[in-house]
Amino acid sequence: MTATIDTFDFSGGLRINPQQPTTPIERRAIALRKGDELRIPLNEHIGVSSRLIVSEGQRVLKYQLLASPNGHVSVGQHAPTSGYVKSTSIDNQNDVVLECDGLDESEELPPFQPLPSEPYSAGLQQSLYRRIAAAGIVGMGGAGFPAHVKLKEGMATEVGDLIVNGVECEPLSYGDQILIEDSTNDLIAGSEMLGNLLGAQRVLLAVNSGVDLVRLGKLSAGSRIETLIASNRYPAGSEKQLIKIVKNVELPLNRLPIHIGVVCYNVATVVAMYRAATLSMPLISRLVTVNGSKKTVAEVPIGLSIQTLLELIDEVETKDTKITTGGMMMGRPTESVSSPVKKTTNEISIHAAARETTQPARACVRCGECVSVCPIKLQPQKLYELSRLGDLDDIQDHGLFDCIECGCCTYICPSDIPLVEHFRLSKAEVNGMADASSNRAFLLQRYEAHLGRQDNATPAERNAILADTEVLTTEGIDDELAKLKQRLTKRGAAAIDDDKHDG
Amino acid sequence: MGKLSESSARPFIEQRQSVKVLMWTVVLALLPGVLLNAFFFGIGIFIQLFIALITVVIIDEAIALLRGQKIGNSISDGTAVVLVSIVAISMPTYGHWWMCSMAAGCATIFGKHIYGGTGQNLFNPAMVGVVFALVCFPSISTYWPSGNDVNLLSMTEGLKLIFTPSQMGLDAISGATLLEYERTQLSFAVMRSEFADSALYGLFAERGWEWVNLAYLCGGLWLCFRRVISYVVPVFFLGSLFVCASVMYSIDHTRFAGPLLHCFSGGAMMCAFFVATDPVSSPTGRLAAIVYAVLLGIFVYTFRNIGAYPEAVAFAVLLLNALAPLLDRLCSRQIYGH
Repeated sequence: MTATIDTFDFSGGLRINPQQPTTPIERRAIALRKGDELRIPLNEHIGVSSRLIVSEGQRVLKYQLLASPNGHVSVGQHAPTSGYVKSTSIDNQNDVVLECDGLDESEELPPFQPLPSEPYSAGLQQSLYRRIAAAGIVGMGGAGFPAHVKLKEGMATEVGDLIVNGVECEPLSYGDQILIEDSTNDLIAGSEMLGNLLGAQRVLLAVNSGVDLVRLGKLSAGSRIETLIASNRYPAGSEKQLIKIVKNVELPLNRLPIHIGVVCYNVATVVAMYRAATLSMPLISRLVTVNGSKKTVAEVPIGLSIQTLLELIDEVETKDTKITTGGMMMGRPTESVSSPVKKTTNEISIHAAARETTQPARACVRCGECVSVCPIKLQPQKLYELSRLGDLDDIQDHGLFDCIECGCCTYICPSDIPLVEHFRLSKAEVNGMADASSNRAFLLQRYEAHLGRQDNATPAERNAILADTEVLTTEGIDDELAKLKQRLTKRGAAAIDDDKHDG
Repeated sequence: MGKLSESSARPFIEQRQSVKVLMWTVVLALLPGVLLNAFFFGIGIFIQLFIALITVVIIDEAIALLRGQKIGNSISDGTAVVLVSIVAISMPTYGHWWMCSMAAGCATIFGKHIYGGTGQNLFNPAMVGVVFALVCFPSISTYWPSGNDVNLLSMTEGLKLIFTPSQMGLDAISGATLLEYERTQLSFAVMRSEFADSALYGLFAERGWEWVNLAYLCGGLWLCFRRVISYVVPVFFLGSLFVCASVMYSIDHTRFAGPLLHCFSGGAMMCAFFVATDPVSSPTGRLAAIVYAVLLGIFVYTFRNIGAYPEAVAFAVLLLNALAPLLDRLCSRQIYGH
C-alpha cells in the first residue's frame, strides 16, 4: 500500500513552479524517416569515451552496439534505428553519424526475464547487473553519470534509502510527470527491482503534487514503494535538496549520496534500467520536453538533431527565435541547431529572441534577494564581489564550489546580474585552463567582460582597448598561467594541510 | 557585458522588480510625509528638495563626464532621487540654501562617487552628507520650524528665508526641536513634569512633527507590504529604541522621555524605514541585520541622551555602517552540507 511519508524542507528556492501546465501537454513519438541522420556522441557521459566498433558504410540494426564501454566508468552507445554508418568523425568529434533507412529493423532481443518476488539469488543479481551495465544507461536527470557504476557501489554497500526522483528538475519540464503517468508499471517494477538489488531498507518515490496519486497508489498497492510529495519549490528535484527533503540531512561537499547510505535515480533512469534488466533493451531514446508554441513531450531517439526534432513536431524556428537546451533555469543557449539530443537532454525551449536580450547588468545594491533564494545558503552577492575582484582564495572560502548553478540568484536579481555565469568563470579560473589557446580566449573574454563592467564605455572605446590586448603575447599568457598554477599548487597544499587537521 | 552575456546563464524569463522600480517606489513612500511636512510647516521642504536635487544632478553629471560615462543617467535610475529626498528631509527645513546644498554635495561626492558609485559605498551617502553639515554647523538644529508656532509661510517668505544671508524672521517660525528643548531644560536640572505643559508637546510627541513621522511610518509599512524593504530592520530598530526608552522612562520619568516621544521625534521613523534599510550599507544576512538594528536603536538612544547633539540618528547610522561587513561575516549562516 502506498503511504505518503513525512517530508522536511530545504531553505531558499523559488516558488515559480506551475506544476500544472496552463496548456495541455501534447505527447509525441518520433517516427524517423528514410534519410534522417542521427549523430550519436561517444563522450556525452561522465567518464571515459566509449570505443567505436563499427566502420563507415556498415549497415546496423536497431539496438546494435555502435561503441562499447571503455572501462568501468563508461557506457556503450546503441543504434536507435536501422541504417548505415555514414561517418565516424564529424567536426573533430568522434561522433557516429547514422543515416536511417526508414525500415526500423531491429536485432532480436533475448526473451523477457521475469523477476522473482523473493530475494534475488547471487547469480540473478549478477546477470541483472550485467544486462544493465551493457545497456548504455546514464543518469537521465541531466548528470550523465553511468547508472551501473552507482548500482555496483550500492550493491557493495549498505543502502538505507533508494530515492526514485520523479520531481521535475526544471520548472517548465514535464517529462518526468509524463513518464510516471505513461510507464507507471515499469516504473514501479523497476523501483522494486532496484530496491532488491541494492538491498535498500526503504524505496521512496518522490513526485510533484501534479501527479495522479490515487492511480499511482492503486498500481503500487502491494509493493513496498512509499510515495512522497516533494515541495513544489525549485530546485526540489536537485539531488542535494531532495535528500534534505527526505532525510533532513545535508549532503557534505565532495560526498556522494552513497556515503550516507542513499542512492538516487531519476525515474527515467529507473525505467531504462528495468527494461534493460528484463528485456535487454538498450537506451536508445528518451523523453524530451519542448517548450515552444505548444508544450510537447516527445520520445526522441538519441542523436536526432534539434532542428529535425522541431521540424517533426511542427515547431517553427525562425531567425527571430532563440533555442535553449535545458530548462529556463539551468539551460544554455543551443550552440547549433544541428547539435543532437543526448541521453541527458531533458528540455528544449524556443523563445522569441527579444526575450533573451535582457537589460545590461546594473550595479549590485546588495539587496539580499539572492541570499534569500540560494538553496545552498551561500551569499551570492559576496561571491559576485569576490569574483569581480578575482580573489580566488576568499571566494572558495565563501563556498564557490558548493554552488550548484541552479540559477535562482540570477533569476531573482533586480539588477539583472548574470551571477551564475560569474561563478562559472571563477570556477574555471580556479581550475585553470587546459591549454594556452583556450586560456587566451578566456583571458580576452574576462577582459572584455571587465570592460563591459565599466558601465557605459562606448563600443569605439572598447574596440580601442581590445585592439591593445591583441598585443598580449603568448609569453604574457604563459606568465598568467604560471602565476595561476603557482597559486593553485599553494592552495592544493593548504587544502591537504586542512584535511590533516580535520583528520 | 560582451561575451559574458551572450553565453549567460540568465534564466530566460522576464525579471520581476528592477532596482529602478524599487527606487521610485521608495520615493513614492516618502511623499505622504513630505506633503504633511508642507502642510504643517510651509513651503520650506519643497525648496530644500529642489536645492538638493539641483546640486546632486549637477555633481552627478559632472562626475559622469569626468569618468567618461554616459551622462543623463542621474535621475532616471532613481537612486539619486532617493538620496536627494533623504538629505533634504534630514536637513533643517528653513536652513540656508548652502547648508542643504553642501550636505547633498558631500553626500554625492564623499558618500557615493568616491567609492565608485552606486552599490560600492560603505556608508549611507545621505547620512555622510548630513553628518558633514552637522559637524560644520553645530547650531543647525535651530533652523527647524517648531510645532510651537505653526505659521504657514508664503512662497516668497520661504524663499527669502532660505536664500538671504540675514535670515530675517527665522526666529519667528523656528526654534529648538522638542528633543533639544528637553535636553536644555534637563541640563538646568528642571524636572520633566515642570515643562510638560510646553506648547511643543502634541498628542504623543512634538506637535506637528508627530504626524509627519506617522506618515513616514505609513509609507514605510507600505514598502514592507510591497516587499521593497524587509520588516526586520525597522521592527528591531524601533523595538530596540522603544525598549531602551521604556526602561529608562520607568526608572526615572522625571529625567527621561517616554518611548513614543523617542520613536516619533527627530529622524527615528525616517531612519527606521528609509535609512537603516538601505541595502548597500546595511548587512545582508538576517541575523546580522537583527544585530545591526538592535545596536542602532541602543546607539540612537544613548547618543540622544549623552551625546553632543540632541539628534543622533545620522551618527549612529554611520557607526553601524562601518560595522556592517563585520556583522555579516560574524553572523554568516552555515553553507549547505558544511
